[in-house]
Amino acid sequence: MQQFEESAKNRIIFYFAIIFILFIILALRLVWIQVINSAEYEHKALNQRIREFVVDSERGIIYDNTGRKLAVSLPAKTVVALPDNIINPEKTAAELDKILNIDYKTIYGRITSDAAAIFLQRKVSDELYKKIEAKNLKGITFTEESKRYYPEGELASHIIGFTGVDNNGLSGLELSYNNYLSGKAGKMIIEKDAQGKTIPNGIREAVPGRDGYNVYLTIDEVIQYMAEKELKDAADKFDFSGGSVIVMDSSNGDILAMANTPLYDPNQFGDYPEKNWRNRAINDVFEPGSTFKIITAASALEEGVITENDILTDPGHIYVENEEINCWSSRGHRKQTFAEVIKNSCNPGFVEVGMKMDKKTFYSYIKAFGFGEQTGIRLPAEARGIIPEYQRIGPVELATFSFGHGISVTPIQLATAISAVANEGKLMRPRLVKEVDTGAGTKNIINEPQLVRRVISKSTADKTKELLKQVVESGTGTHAAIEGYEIGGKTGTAKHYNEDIYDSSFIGIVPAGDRDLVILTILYDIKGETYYGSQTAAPVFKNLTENILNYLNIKPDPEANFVYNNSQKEVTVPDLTGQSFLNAERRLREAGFNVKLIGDGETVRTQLPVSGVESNYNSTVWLFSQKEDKENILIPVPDFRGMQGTAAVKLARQKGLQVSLSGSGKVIGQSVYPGRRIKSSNKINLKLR
Amino acid sequence: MYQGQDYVNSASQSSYLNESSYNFTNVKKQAFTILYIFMLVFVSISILLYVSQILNINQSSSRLLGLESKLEAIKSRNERLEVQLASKTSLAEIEKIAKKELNMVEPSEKETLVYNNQLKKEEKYMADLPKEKFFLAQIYDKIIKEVITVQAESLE
Repeated sequence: MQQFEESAKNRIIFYFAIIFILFIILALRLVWIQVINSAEYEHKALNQRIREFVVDSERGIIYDNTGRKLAVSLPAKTVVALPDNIINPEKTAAELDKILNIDYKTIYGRITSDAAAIFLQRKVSDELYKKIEAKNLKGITFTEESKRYYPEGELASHIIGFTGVDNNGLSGLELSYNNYLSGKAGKMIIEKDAQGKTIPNGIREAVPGRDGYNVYLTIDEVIQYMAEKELKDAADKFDFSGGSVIVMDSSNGDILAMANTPLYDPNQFGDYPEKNWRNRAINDVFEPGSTFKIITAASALEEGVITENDILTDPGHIYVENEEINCWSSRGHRKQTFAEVIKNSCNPGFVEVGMKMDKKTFYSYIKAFGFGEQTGIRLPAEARGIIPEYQRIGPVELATFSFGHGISVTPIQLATAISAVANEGKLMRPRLVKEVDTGAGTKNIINEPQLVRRVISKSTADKTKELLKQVVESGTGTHAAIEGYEIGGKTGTAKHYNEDIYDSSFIGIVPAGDRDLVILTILYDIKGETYYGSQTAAPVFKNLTENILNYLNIKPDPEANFVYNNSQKEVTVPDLTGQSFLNAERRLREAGFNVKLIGDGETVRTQLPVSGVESNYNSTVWLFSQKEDKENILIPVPDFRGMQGTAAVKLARQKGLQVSLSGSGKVIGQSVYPGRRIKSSNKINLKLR
Repeated sequence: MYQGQDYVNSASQSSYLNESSYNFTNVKKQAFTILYIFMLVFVSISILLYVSQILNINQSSSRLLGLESKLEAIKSRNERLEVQLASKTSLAEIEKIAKKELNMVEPSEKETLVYNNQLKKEEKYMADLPKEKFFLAQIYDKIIKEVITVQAESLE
């Protein structure tokens, strides 16, 4: 009995000791958890409650110059599937197949995948979101993302561009100004309970991001709309692949409109072929044709190799290095002043002018006007244009350049170059973005108008503008004339090589208050019988310009009646041989001539035309310090046929040619074929009857 | 147990022996008790108030969170409506409505009339107006003339 009692006592002591040891262990563990290692467990517990979110920054808004929003960002729902929570994948896939634009197999594959969560369709429309939400599908949830919207749809789509699903710019200003438009994502740390609800008064910390900067454009929504509408209307009348219109304020380089067709809606850019996305006014080049003659004219006038009163001849063609260059008029324009050459858009006339400038001079002007280099408009993939290398330019290339063939330019280059003529000779950098709003507290980035360089003098620019006005008044650009406005401009038609396809264009200088607008209209790849710039692009220009002037409230001047006066006065060229250049120049200018000095010498050795010739007032007399220099000049031979002997002699002398007559009456034959270029020392025999 | 009771009785009997001491201790005890109860009530009320305030704050915070998310939703809806408004008032949309619903037709020919407000206005002078109209003015002029005219004194 006693033994039993002792054994029970021992067992009690033993179990008590075990329990005691266990308690000690537990107590030690508790101390380990609660005291020694408390920070770690505290951290673990906190991590379970804390949720970290990336707060997407809002992409900046793009505004036009009237304050209308052209591109904005809105929150959009993304459909997310949680495969573990989906009870009946077949039914769920079938339901979603009816609503989403994804086939059953793809949906089923996604919602049965191993992923914890998977995107089904990102940034769906509000209607679609409501439809899916109404189905109340288990395991289908939504997350919010930012989506780019373009409220104006197709308007200015080529300028603005579009963004991808990750909200990064893919085209247009969205791409080139992506650094400004896209902000910096922020972070949000929130304490949530087991149900995922925010714990009131819990941890709530934010690492602020930065919203994208708003961008203000120079584009005027109304003018942009008008330009796009005119191109759309033109598509109903003519057969062409697309068109471009640029409206530029020449005084500061502001682009008021830049339209292209075919258009696309950036809200659904994927539904359109890639060619619709191209901003042809920036990315593509075209042969400018006669519109480039403005550059030739301005360069030649600035260099003093020609004046508007100089006499030029066009027998319908001109030969350069045995290559025949034809005029658009097969009969030619015969004898004409340079002013008439511009009015008639005469190719041989311009070739003669181009050849009067040497290669180096003409090339430097082409470069100075900005051709062959990017304008710096800051749109993606701006083309440079194609200007042949200097070494590869021969007389034929120089001749074709003078009437806008053999070179390729971008529409924006052409508009910018002609803006220099409109803006007193000052070339401005085209400006599409006026200001970038960097938000409160920081100074906005202002894109001030930028003068690139002065290309020609104010007087040359003014003279060129006057000459262009007569083109619209009574020349090839009459279809662009608007009553009450003095508009200057030039048509252009360039034929594609070996194809009956044309690029037709018209560029006009439109006075609009204290500034001039330059408006360029181009229709690409025109087919059919109506293809001349005067028949196609000029009427488009006219309609557009009328609407713009009306919108800008620029009233017509009822008394505006531009008439270009060709001077009929003739002056006798004095003999200047042996005189000093200074004295000779003074005498000629006093007599009413323009003077071009050739050579480095101090004394005049010879002159062109020779003394005693009755030439037009303010025409050019060339003075040479070396006789060889005169010999290097090649003069195109006019078509004397049908002219009276005296008239033929006078014309030959005015051009600096020598003729000998045989017979009397009218010229019936000439020893040198019309259009050939010969030295002034070569004599032409004329047969009269 | 019996012994214990005896011990208690003997102890209480001995405390009753000293009357004044008994009174003082009793009052002191009562005061402590009251103070203790008061402290207990005060602490309890404080705790209750604190807890209720915490609950209030939590409820307010929760309400605030709800309102914040509501505000976000309203803001988002507002932005969406603004975009919708911009789309509906775009020039393309206006033209579509004008042409389809209001039968707008673009003019085949345009004529611009300029209102010239620079034409010279026909000026009217006093002499052109009939004299009768200025009868009173003439009388007034005469009176004034009589008053202000001073005749120089002659030598005679």
